[in-house]
Amino acid sequence: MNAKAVIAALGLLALGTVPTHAADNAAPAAPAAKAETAGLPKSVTSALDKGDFNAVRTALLAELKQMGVPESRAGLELKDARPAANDDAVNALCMALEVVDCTSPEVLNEFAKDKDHQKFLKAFFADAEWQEIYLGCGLVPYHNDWGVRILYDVWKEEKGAVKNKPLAVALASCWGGGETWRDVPIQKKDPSKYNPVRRYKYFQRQQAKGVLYPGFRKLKAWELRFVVAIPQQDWDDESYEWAFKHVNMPWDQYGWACWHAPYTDPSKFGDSVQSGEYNLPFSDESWAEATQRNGGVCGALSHYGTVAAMAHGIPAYTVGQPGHCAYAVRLKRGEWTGGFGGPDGGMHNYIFGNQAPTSYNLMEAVFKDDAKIARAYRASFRARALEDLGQDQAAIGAWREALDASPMHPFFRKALHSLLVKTGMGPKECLDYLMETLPKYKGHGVAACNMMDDLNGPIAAMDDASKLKLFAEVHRIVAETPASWAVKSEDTISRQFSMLQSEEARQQLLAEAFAAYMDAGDGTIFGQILEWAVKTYVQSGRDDVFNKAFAAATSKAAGAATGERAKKMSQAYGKAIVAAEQARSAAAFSALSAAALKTCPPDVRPPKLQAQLPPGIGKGVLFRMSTTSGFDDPVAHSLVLTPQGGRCHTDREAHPHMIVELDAKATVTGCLVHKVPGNEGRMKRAKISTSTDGATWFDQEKTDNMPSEWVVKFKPGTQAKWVRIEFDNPQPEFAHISHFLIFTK
Amino acid sequence: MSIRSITFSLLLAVLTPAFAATVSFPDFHQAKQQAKTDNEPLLILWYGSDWMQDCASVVQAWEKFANDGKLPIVFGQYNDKTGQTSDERRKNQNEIGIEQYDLPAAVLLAPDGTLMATWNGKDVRKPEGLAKDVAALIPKAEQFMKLAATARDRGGVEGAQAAGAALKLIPYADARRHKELTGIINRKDPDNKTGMRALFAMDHQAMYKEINNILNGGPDGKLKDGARNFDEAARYVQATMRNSGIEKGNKALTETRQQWLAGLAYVYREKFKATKDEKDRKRLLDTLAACVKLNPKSQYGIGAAKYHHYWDPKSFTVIDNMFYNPGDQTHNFEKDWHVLVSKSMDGSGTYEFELVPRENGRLITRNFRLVVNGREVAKADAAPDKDTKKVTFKVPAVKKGDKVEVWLTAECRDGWFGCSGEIKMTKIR
Repeated sequence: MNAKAVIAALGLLALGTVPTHAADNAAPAAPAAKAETAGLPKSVTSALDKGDFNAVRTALLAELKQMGVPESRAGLELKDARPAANDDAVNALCMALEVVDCTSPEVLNEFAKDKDHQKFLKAFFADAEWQEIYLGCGLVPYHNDWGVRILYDVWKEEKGAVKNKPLAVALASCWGGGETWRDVPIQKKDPSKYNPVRRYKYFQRQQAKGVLYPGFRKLKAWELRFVVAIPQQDWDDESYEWAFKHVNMPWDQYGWACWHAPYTDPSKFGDSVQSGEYNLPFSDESWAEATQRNGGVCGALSHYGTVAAMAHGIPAYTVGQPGHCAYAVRLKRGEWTGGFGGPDGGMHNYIFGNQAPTSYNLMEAVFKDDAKIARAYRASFRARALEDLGQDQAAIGAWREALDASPMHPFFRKALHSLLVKTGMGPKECLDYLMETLPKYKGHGVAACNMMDDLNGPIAAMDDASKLKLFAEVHRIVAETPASWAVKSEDTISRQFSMLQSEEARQQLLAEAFAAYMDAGDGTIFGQILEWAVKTYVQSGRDDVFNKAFAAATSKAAGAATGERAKKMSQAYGKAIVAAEQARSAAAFSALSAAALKTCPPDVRPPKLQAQLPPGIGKGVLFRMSTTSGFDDPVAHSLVLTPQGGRCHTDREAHPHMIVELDAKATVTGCLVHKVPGNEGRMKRAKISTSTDGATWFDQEKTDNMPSEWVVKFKPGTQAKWVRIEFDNPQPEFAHISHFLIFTK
Repeated sequence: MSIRSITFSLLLAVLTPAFAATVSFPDFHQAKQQAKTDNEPLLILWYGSDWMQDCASVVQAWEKFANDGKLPIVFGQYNDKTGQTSDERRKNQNEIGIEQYDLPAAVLLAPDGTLMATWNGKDVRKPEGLAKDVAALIPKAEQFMKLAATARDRGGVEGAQAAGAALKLIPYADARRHKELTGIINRKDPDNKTGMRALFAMDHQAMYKEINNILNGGPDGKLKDGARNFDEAARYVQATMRNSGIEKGNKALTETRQQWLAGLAYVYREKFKATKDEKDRKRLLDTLAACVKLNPKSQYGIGAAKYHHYWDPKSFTVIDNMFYNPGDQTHNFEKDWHVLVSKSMDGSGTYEFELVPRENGRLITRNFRLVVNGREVAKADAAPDKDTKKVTFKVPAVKKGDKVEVWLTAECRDGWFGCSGEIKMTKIR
């Protein structure tokens, strides 16, 4: 340590009457000490002067080795509560090392060949506050010079005194990407039209005028990323200027600013949006102006709404959805609201992966608390330095400290896992670690699953009992996670299944999973798991496995769901019931129908039957139709086979049909079919037939004018296990019935 | 408005933060009722007191305007504040009769609440400038209202005729986006028997739908083997322009004339693509030129000029910032690029000229020439018919201020027409 740093450290010691942990609680978000106080040792500055970043790195490591990097400040404080005298100095060195490692000495060496660049780098490395903002922005440009080049450009523009460092960093981060997002499409754009310095000046100018959204000035660098650019598919600088001038709405209405532009296909010159020529006539104008005047479809309109919000200082992003593009805006930390069908889907701007909502939910949770995330980052800088020094165990301690402050930071978690695996984590240790860690992911099940990927090795080495315990916990965490159509769970359970050794363990896991989702969550993931299980077991002829697991879960399940959840559960069961019907699994159909009727009873109002029913009604164990449709309610299918009545609805077809399967072949005497009230004009020409093998059919009765309630008497002595009604429509038409009762002797 | 209320609102404007000022006019629901009772038109200031940075000055200007104007109208306000749900806002907007995304705005309604005109931007910030426009519309309000009522009441073309007559009384731009009355025309005269549909209610989407129906032999596309009714479609456009009064008429119709000329250009473009006949290309270029001539600065004027350049075999693309963008290219046919490289020159020597693709890549480039002040001075080392991205030139000494360019022939073959990239000119010897 150089003399200046020692003096600074001693000065802090003399003043440091408050233990660090107390100080952290009191003023946790305090920025890192300024360069003047933290200082960099001479060995480092002289290497910086030469623009030799291999030497800078070596000098930083030597200094850190000499000073000693504490593995965990929290741990030390608990032990002896001594003040962290040299924290700032160590932190400054660790951050400088992190900047060098992220950018890479080779990239910095090349960059520093320009004298002006070198001057900037010296200023940047002397400014601990700026480095801390840079390293804490979420995505730090990795092994490229985009980050330092953009910071340099802003620094040059501001003649060495950058007024808004978070804004400059956000731009550097958007253009530069990070270790997990290296080829950012915005890097490929025409620099004369997509220019970070112009963006910087634009936002500075608007902020100075006081015309931006009031929350803008409070935004941290990671949040400003969502104001300054759309890294995946940006619009030109001029669009921001134009949108500011021409879109002016209440702050909370930018979620529909997209409609300022006309939704139109074709263009004013007759070109289809698919043609490529759609925008050609207006390619000299900004995207925003051309879109407002010429119009567009979902992609252009969502970009328009997004850029309009961003131009006013409101964080926003565009998002790709299957066959659609939407967007999202954010007025308050943690609260993203959708525009044009957003906010879920594949985000065009992100820090931790792009699958909204899991990505933005995770990001908001990680960065929620300014003080905690600042602490976490500082610990992470130490952790990386300790790794560089080859002190793996100490680095593990520092990573744990970082994760104590921000438990779900994926990059920190990954770094810790990598070290744990490297240092020989065994299956028992892994189980203990994950059982302790998983509850910290409450509400973030997808992130929990993702972080476990790093530990597949030790997990694979566990016995089935340990794996079951672990996987069941995962499902409990996932079940408590807010769901969305964009969340896909099939992969998780599929992978877990492949890791289990015995079929018995798989069955138990399936039961655990069913139980976890049956009573928690909004039903989306339950539906996915049900669908997966039906596909895996029922459709491959192993419905006994499905039924056993399902029965075990339903025995523990709570009662009826209500509200939105009941709707989602009904959809989930509906899909599974249709799948069971298609798989012709009577057992799965019965089990699913019974559970569904208990959890989300359908709102059916079947008509009252007119006919006097005979004493023998065959027990229908499976009902299936030629097609289903959006109007269908599969939860009510099983009721169609009862005198109480239910509901079913095919798609439009020339020959829709429905089939009842009885529990056993029986002597059947007739049947009753009742149409669902309303639209009785449909389903005129109909035919009833019976079968003993489900393949060969014998006609029983035909009609050209089927009544609402049609009672058919079968030929004497008819034996059957299956009874079918089919319709013969001149034009494709729906079929929907409330009752299909089979009379037996 | 009383002196007291003006004083009070001015006092409020002074005491509260700049953006929190509110105008003293009654809320638009109340004002609407008042306008009906007094049988006077209603002028609404549509603004946002809690987010508009220049709200205080807008409010002040409108208070003064209302006080000084002496116009026989009722003033009302719609304070579009934050905190309203989208549904509430939509309901209010529906009631006013128009959506607004650029506030402040001013909206003039007839005494019965039917939308007559809107203004945005500078006009609203300096409302005294509106006085003339509003004063000109006030005497028409009674007749407008009656015609609008007739349009609602009468069926068939009679209703459409009345709606058109009403729309003729208000500014043409407002008439074209008048949802209610154009909706009546579309419903009651779908075949444009009155000419009102083409004049007011057919936007470009509706126009292209009709054109494509004719081109393809009906909505189901009955024509076989790629045959299309080009001449019939052209005749339809020309007849519609003539019969609806679009072809000639006042200046306000310029953009509608341009819209239909763009439609005609589309028919000729499709025909030229099919026939490759230079006569058809000429028809296309002449039509686009006529469209530009009407108003080069309108959206149609700008677009038609760009398309004229695109289809004109004699035109070339100038690139002066060492970066080529999708808009610089032609799709599946060649055009020359003139790339200005003067700034990259450093005396005579051997230079490497390179196109570095950044997005997509199916850009075919060939036939590189070095040109000084419009005169070809050197050819690249590569064969002129070979697709090449990097060539070298031996560049002679040039004088300061000489215009040095590299000319090349380019064609984009990307389906989405989106090649872009950097251009580099580097001295290697």
